Amino acid sequence: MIVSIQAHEYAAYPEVLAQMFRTRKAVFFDNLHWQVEVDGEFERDQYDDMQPVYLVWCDSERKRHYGSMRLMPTTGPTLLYDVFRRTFPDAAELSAPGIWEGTRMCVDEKALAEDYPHISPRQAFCLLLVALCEFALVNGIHTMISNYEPHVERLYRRTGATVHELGRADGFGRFPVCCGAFEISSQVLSSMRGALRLSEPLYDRSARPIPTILADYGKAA
Amino acid sequence: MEQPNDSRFVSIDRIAEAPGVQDALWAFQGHYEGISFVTYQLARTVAGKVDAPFVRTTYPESWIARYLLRGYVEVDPIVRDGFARRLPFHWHEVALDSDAANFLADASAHGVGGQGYSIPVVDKVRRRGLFSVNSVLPADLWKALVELHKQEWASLAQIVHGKAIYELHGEADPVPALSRREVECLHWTALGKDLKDIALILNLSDHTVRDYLKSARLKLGCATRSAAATRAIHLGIITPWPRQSPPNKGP
Repeated sequence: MIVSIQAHEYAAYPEVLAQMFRTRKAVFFDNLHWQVEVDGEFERDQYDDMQPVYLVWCDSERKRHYGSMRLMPTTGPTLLYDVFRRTFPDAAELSAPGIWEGTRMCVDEKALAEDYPHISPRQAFCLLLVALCEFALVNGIHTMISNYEPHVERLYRRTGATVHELGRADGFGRFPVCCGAFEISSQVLSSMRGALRLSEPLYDRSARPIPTILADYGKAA
Repeated sequence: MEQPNDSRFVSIDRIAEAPGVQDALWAFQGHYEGISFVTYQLARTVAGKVDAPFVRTTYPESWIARYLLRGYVEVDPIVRDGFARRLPFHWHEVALDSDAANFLADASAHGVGGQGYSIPVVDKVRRRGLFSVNSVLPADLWKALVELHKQEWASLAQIVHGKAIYELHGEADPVPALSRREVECLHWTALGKDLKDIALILNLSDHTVRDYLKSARLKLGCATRSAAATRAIHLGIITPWPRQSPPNKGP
């Protein structure tokens, strides 16, 4: 199931959230060599202490984490505002309810390979994006701001997403960094569902187990 | 010209331009049909500093007195949950223990409607507010009303929060920092251009222009784009006449 976890629900997902912080360390610190704060086996920073919402793909037992991202409203403190204000002033200074930032999007390739061998990491990434779009629509969010590497934009476009690049800069790593706005609308959602051949919703606001759509996904493709 | 007693004549700008939080709540209640009561609360504790409780509401005096006398703030599940949540929520989504259930029964007996929707608010310095709307409408009508207005209400909740900060701390930046793109979009709005025009002029997407204008409008505490453009002119942020290009933002 793909659920949103707010501060009052953190206690119900201890193992999933711990696994999320471990996956983030493996992806962003070990693999991508980002300059992120590491606390033992976790990658956690000050924004994780500000009661963010996590969009998390986990099993219905709430034991296994397959992928996640961190979501914060731009009216409050955001990573983009603090870190990229000089680099992308126009994007980083966007601040309004309905405009949220998404950071630390990752998938746990090992857990996926074990439990969903028919779903590739890239497909998993795309499925999370669709769930993000569903989550945003339900919650009155019309724009998601995020930073990404240029090559990821092709992936976004292939998922049927609509991304408006607001800025691009060198000097943060091997690749330039882009900052973009993802448009959220029912039209965008149906284009994404079409591109990924999905017919049922993935995101479950009430955290009930969802149908077997993920178990079946990819087998037919 | 104005008929403040008739809800249909209370414009959304009147809510944003109300002199204080209490007036804004009354204006809000008057603007939307189907709303019984409106409440705004600021979290009491901010980063270790304890503020005086700040609550403004349109609930009747008798219910407010009872709420205070019985110490209901300790059991009110909407307050407890509302400051932990980030996303707007319907009151029926909140888990209830027996104290909370008794509280809601008492609230209902004192005229509080069965439907509610709360919007958590946060600002750049992490002050948290909660804007709540209450109604006696049947569940399906209420849900439809919230769906129709939820984005507008989220904006107004942010504007009311700004008023509360001003009332409590007297700190409002009269000239908010706007980004270059926000200023450009306001400039062309003041000259009567719509979203599509501005998108063409600035070579941006319609959606991006909408985002910049919404962000600029809320930084200026305005409910509509035209009010924001007018305010930006008054503050000297833009001078659309007689020049035809937006100002450059410093060296």
